[in-house]
Amino acid sequence: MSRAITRVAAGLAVFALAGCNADRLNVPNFNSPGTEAATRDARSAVVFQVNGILDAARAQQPGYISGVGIIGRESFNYTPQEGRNTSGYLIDPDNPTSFSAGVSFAARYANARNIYNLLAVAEGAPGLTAAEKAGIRGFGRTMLALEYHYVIATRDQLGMPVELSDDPSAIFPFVSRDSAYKFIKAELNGARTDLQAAGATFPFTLTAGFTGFSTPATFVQFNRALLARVEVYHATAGCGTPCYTSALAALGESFINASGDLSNGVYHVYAIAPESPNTINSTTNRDVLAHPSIRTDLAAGDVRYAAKIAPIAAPRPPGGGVAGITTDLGFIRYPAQTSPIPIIRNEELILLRAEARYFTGDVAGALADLNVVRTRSGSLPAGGAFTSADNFIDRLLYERRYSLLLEGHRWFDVRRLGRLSSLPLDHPSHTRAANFVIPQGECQVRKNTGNSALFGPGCP
Amino acid sequence: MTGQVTNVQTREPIPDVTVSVVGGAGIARTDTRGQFRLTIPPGVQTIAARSIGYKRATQTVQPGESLVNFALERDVLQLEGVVVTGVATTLDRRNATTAIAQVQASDLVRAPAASLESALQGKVVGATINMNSGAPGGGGQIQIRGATSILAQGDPLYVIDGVIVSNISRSSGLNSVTGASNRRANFGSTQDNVVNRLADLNPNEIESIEVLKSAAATAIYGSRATNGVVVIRTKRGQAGAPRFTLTQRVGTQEPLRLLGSRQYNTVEDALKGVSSAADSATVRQIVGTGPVQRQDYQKQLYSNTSPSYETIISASGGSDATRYFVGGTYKKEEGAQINTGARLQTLRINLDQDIGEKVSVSVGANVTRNTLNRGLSNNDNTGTSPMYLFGYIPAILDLRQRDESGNFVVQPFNGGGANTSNPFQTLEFLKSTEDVTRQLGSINATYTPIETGVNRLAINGLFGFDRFTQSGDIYAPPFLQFEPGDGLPGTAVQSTIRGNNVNASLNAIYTFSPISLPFTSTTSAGLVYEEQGDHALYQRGQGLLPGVPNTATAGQQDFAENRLLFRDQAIYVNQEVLAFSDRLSLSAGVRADRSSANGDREKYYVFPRASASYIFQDLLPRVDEIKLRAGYGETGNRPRYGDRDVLLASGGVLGGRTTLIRNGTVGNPDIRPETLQEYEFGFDVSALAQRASGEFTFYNRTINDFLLNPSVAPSSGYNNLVINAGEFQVRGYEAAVNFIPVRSGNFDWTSRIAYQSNVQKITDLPSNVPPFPAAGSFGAAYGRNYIINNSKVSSIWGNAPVELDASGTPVRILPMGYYLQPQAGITVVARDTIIGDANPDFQMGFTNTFSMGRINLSFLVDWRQGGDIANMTNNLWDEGLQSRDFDDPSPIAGVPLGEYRYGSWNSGRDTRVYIQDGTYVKLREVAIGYDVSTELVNRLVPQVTSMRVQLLGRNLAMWTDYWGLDPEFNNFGNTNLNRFIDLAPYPPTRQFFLSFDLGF
Repeated sequence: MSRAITRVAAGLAVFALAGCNADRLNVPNFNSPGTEAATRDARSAVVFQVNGILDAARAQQPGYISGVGIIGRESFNYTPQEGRNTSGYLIDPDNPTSFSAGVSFAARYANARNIYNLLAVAEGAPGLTAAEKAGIRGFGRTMLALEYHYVIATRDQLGMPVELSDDPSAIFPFVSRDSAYKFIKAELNGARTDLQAAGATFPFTLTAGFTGFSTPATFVQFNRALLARVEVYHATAGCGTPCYTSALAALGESFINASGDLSNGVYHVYAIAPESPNTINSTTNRDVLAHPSIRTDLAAGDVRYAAKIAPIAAPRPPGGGVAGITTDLGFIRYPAQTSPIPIIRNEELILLRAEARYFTGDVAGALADLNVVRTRSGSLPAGGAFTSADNFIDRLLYERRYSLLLEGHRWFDVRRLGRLSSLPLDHPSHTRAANFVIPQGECQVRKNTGNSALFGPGCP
Repeated sequence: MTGQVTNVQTREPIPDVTVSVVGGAGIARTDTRGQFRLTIPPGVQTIAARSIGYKRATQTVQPGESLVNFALERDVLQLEGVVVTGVATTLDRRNATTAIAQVQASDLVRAPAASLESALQGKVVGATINMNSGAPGGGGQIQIRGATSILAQGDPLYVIDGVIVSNISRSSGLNSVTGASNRRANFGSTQDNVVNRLADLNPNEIESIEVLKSAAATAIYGSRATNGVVVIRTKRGQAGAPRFTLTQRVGTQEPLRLLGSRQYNTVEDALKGVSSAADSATVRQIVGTGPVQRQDYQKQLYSNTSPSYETIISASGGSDATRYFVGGTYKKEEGAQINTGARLQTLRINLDQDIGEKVSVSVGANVTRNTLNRGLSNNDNTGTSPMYLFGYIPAILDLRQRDESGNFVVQPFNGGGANTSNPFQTLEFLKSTEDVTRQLGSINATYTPIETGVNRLAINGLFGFDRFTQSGDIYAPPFLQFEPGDGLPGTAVQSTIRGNNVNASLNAIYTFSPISLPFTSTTSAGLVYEEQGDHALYQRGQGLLPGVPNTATAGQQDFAENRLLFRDQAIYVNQEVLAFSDRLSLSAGVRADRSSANGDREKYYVFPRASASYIFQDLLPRVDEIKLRAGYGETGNRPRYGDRDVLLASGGVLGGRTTLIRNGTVGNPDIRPETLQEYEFGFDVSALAQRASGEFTFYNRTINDFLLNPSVAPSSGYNNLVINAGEFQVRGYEAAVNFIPVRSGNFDWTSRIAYQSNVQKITDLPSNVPPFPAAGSFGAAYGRNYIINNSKVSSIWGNAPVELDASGTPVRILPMGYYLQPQAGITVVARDTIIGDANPDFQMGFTNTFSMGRINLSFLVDWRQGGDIANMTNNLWDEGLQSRDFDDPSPIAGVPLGEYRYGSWNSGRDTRVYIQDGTYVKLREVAIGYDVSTELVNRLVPQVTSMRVQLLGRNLAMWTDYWGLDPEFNNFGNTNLNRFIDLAPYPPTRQFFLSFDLGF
């Protein structure tokens, strides 16, 4: 009996001591992986992370295009009962809680954090080669530049914070618009260097929207195309000729082809639920409508109109009784939930080159590029020589407007080329905002610090 | 020395009485004949005899005396017993150093209860106990001394015979039918009238419950103790001839209260009860030219009076070395709503075995099956919750009708078609079953290597487990009226939640009772290990094949999975000293905990405690004893699972595969337990030769470092942090008086009055945490708790119209009804402001027991004064035009009351009209019993030794001005805050039982 007791006591002691082992407290998270777990199996993790970045980018693009389209008098979102889809852009866009203030901010930075995490996982991963890591960096930094460019394009003079760190509560100051452009260009150029060291293939697969640009060597062309757009924007944001010159250099390494398919380029692809659908498609979304000025300002015979615009059965007013005009025009630019949305494509590149050529003195080249688009895309007769710089800008804006309709360009184009006042005011209460404001949540956290260095012009 | 202990009234021997030398060594226990044998030190000694249920008795023994007999008196005031002082130690209740809340079996199960919470209501001073609904099977919450946390665990820790048991609440997936929260994204929700797992416990197996309230007492449970600890002891066998009991109860139930509805006589009347043209046409078609065929939908639907019954059997007995208790219960509780009910089957075996002189082993095993059918109630967005829907349909069409082929009539109002439902059809065919199998087990072994008069050393090992499987089976067949509403007729959810909890401890207890010195010292130390996990799996099918609840063949299939696992380790040391003839009692201890949930898993968090009491005897005339006590303690509340982890999260689906993105809430690798510091002062009095006793306690608790989720700058790429910050204070009073107003001949009247109140306040919120509403509410339009600095955490915030001056500064809050009579020329905005307080001014409980010969009567009255309710049910019924008092006069002439309320609310711009006083007085329990005399019993049923016949009632009456069904209910189930949201609950039920208790 006493032996049995001794055994029981010993068993209890062993059990108790085993229970006291600190290793037992290393309970993993069974529901979601941490960066540590991801790094251990980085080859698998980066595939999921790259898809996460592409999905986060595509998911916000329809709402973004609709938002900048409303303020650029290209589109409306006439959701019944919800007037803020109109008032937030046209009446009180300066209100930090308006619908427009939330567009293209938090979600862009959330994706920037996804990219930050991808690079962190890849950097520490023992299982990836140096070339594979370079490929991941080249992809990530290109995507970061894309996201940040959407932020600075919408916030413009307010500048933007550009840094992220491991500390989630770290708050970085706003940098000026000029610095933001420089940062974005440095990321794109750094990404090119990375891509050149990335070997023949990426250690992940890109979507069908990247067909033709899915290897490091071809992805560089996408990277250069984005750089060309950023240089042109920067040129009209104070940088001027040097940036136009850089834009031409970048275009030379991009996939620009004046005689090639104008739709060639890189796209966000969409699929029906549970994937991200294209929510501004004309089949399931009857509320995203076209501004009547698209019909009024049209040159006779321009085939781009009929390809992208269709009348709707009955004119629709703004939702929620908000002041505005009715419209009888809808879009057919994206006919289905699965219609891809371009990130950047050949037609835009030709128009970027026309602009860069004109402002670096190559007027003939500019005219040739503009006429390529005008004739090939619009089926219009080629235009004659420019009578003035204003004439060039008017004609450039016309081609950009109809070629890139509902692709998220119009508002930025009129602003950066000094034509913001050309946007129609449909009601006395409407305004022409030059930028979206910084959302209240961002300013609140900054103001709570009491550190005025963190306020910036966006959070006065 | 030898002797015998008997009952002073019956003169029958009392077994299992502890006989000991006061202030010294020597202890013995009486056998079945009430006899004991005790070795005593030389000299004059005081010998005490005590047993639960009896008053303690002492006798002084002169040297050389060898026989002493005790006659014990019943302890109706419950001054005796032992209290828990450590993982493995107890102390005489009389010497307790902190406030005690104990409930004995006889009080606990006076009348059958849906669950333990219900059985405890009104009986535990310092605890706020409310049932979340009147549905069968329970679902309730116990909050001890106020809220202690905003985001972390808010429930007390439940410990049964040393086993830490789970009290989680997991929905079985009813939200997939009701759509109370997003129907696609969420399988279940907290609004599903969820049952917390305490519902599986059988109150009939319980011998006693002790609620540890003060941190000076709960600190023995370390980092899981801020919410208090409920220590439950189950019944155990006593040496002697086998004793059998059989209790058979049968009863019925009806709604205690229903809402009533607006009454219509003519078609013109009935047209006032609808607003759309389509509904008006329907009214005309139904009523035609005849009078309105009035219906009472609620009486028709909450009409189940099928018998409820309960059968309890037990056997106990044993020899000196082996004692056993075996108990079984079969309980069928019917619900008032048709086709609802709960069935609990339990079996418990407790075995105590002494092995030689030095080893004793206690084993407990408990298996339970709990099957719940709780129907439909609370919030919904599919037109299915009956109490919600009835607010929108004029009661003029008999919805129980069926056509020739047996199909229910279509309910034509409130949108008609698949936008709404016919509750009579739904409850006839909807299956919503939760089936729980649960096993609890414990083994507790003590080895006493040293036991001399002076020194006693015991080594104790405890191992316990609690495992359960909760299987949910929900099936809404495709032909139900509302089912085609989402384009996928038919919904089935199968869920499995597996819980697995283990705890173990190894303890050493050393008692030192020097003969030469006037004190006893008990030192204990030990190691503790605890594990708590659960794993939830859900599968759902929508668009079902006819007649089969099969999710695999459904048109739309979804899955969800979630797991939790905690592991904790602790070491502790406790020291207790009894000195000066047991008048001074000191207790101190320290426990160090570490947990898998903390950021630093290796770090021990230290929780100290100290408390003392001193008994003054014969200090005042007629006062037997006054005990002053004071205590201080610190406890913790560990972080939630995953709070420590900086995680990636699964994002959207791309190319058919899931993706990995950042988690919006970023984990904190420095996260640590919330901490609570509490001091408590009080006194206990016993007076008039123990005919009266009283207790009073003041406590002040400060909770620091509670978990918060402040927003971060969106430019960080995250949404929220998890941090420890802030300070929160609860101050309160508890008092109770027990007395025997009448004791003459064979008539006895015992009375107990208990009182409690507290104030709960946020005293510090860091500047980076903007004020935020507590989770589980519907926003400012309906009222909710708001976490804001220097404000009561129980304050209800909601909208009220505020007049602004030209500069935009608030001038005044406008009176209720403003929006019905707006003033021209002033600027008015709806401001989120304090419009009520959910915390009652006080709560009181009154228990009275009368016994006259063989007749016993006892009743329990529970009074809550104040405490506001967000009455969303009233709001819905006004919106739907069906409130019973809709046509009553209102403060504005010519405006009917329903219109007045709804118009002043004005789409949520003035919430005040629906924030209503929840004062109530409830007659919770009544028991009338008759003890049949032994001779008669023997003549009726041979071998039966005792028989009691009882009439029992629960929730017999409620007196309240509250508009809704029951002011204690909550739509969101178990929550830390926001416990006052009334939204179309399952009505409270009144129950009656006839009970036969047999002993043989």
